[in-house]
Amino acid sequence: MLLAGMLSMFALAGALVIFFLIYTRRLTQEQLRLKQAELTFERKLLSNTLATQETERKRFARDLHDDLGGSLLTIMLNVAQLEIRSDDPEYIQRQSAQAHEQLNQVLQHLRMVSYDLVPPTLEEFGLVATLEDLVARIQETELLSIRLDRNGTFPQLDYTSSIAAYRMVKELISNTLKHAKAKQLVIFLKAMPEAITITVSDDGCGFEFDEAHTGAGLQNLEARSRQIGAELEVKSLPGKGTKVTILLPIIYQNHA
Amino acid sequence: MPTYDEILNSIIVVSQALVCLPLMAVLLRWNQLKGYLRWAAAMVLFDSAMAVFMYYCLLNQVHNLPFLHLFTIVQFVFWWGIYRGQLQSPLARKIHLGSGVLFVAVAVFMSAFLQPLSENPTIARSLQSGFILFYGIAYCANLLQQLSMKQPEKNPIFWLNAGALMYFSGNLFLFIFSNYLLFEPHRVLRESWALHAAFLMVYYVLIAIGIWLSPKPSLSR
Repeated sequence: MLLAGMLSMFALAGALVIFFLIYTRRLTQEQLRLKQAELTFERKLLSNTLATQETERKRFARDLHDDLGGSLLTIMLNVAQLEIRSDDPEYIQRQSAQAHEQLNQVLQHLRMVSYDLVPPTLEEFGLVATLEDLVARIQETELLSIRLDRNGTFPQLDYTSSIAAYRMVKELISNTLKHAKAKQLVIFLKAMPEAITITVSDDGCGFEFDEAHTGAGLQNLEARSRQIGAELEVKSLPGKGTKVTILLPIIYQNHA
Repeated sequence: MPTYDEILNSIIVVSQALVCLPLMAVLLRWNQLKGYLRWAAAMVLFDSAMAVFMYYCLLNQVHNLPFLHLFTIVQFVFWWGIYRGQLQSPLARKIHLGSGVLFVAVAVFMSAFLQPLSENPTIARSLQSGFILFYGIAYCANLLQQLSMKQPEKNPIFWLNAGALMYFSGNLFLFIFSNYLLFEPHRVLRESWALHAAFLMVYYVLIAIGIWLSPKPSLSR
């Protein structure tokens, strides 16, 4: 009886030690697996961010080369013609009017490119005014019916959060225009004491969330929301439209 | 062909000699032993000295029970020191401190009044095993809560703790019921001590592994 008791106690202690060893090993393996998954995700995000940057640069270069470059070349040729036909006042007048018109177009295009890069209203008037401006611009194109509703008094956010939120909304609008075949898009802004919610919903074709989750578009949105500490919620079903909610914590602009 | 009793006797006698394993580890790793490993090293040196003394007593038929009273207290103090920096929870630390003082006081009281030096200090040994087991389990619980140890098998305290848990759990049972052993046949008594000796061998091996795994001094700042 005594010997059995001693052996049982010894075996119990041994079992405890072995359990502890196996448990901590499994736990370590699990932690390692999670860390690796996180690392893979971070790498993918970084790669997407770089790819997006590269695409933006290419688009910017194309805009400058094809549109602005082309227009400026035409103006340069016209000016060269003015030198050759300097004795024809009527021609000079017509050509200078045309050059003036072309320069006006170039200037407008330059403003569009510049606005596309960083909207000038953002720093001065804030996120809400910039989004209203963006909505007004899209309304002018009549590509789809777009509306912005707001509720509450919106504080002036810090620039990093504002630009990230602006780009996220722009990305969502761009996605709707490209893929959703939607007729209507509604942006709803709601101010709360600690956060702002931005809801972008459309009545388009929607998508299977799991399939699209690996796509670069949503990963970019996730990367941006992580960058500013926002929460992102995507709801979509095939044929039922898409609703994306961004919960943006309020970080007040530092005027110091 | 040795008889059953001879085998049991051999296990009992040889078990003490296994202290040379942790002793060698201490001597070879002496410069690397820091913090709680110094307590472990001191305990191994003390155990080695006691083992030599026990063999001397055995050979010269000297009564060694009075020294067992001292051994019980000193061994407890060493284990107390080993676990001192390992327990993080405030409650466990308070119990650790209180139990250290309490055990020494109770052990001295027992030796003075209840179990004189001529008797086996079974109560003190049971208490000692109980407290050390509590430290060991508290340490495991603490480690599971913190989840800070990545590879426990490479950490000396894991092996020291394993040795303590396995040896003192057997010891606890043996010493609690050892008074009843007096009324059992002589063979049961021998078998119990042989089993205790087997546990002691496991204990020394685990202590040796723990000390051998002491971290090497790092060259980086």
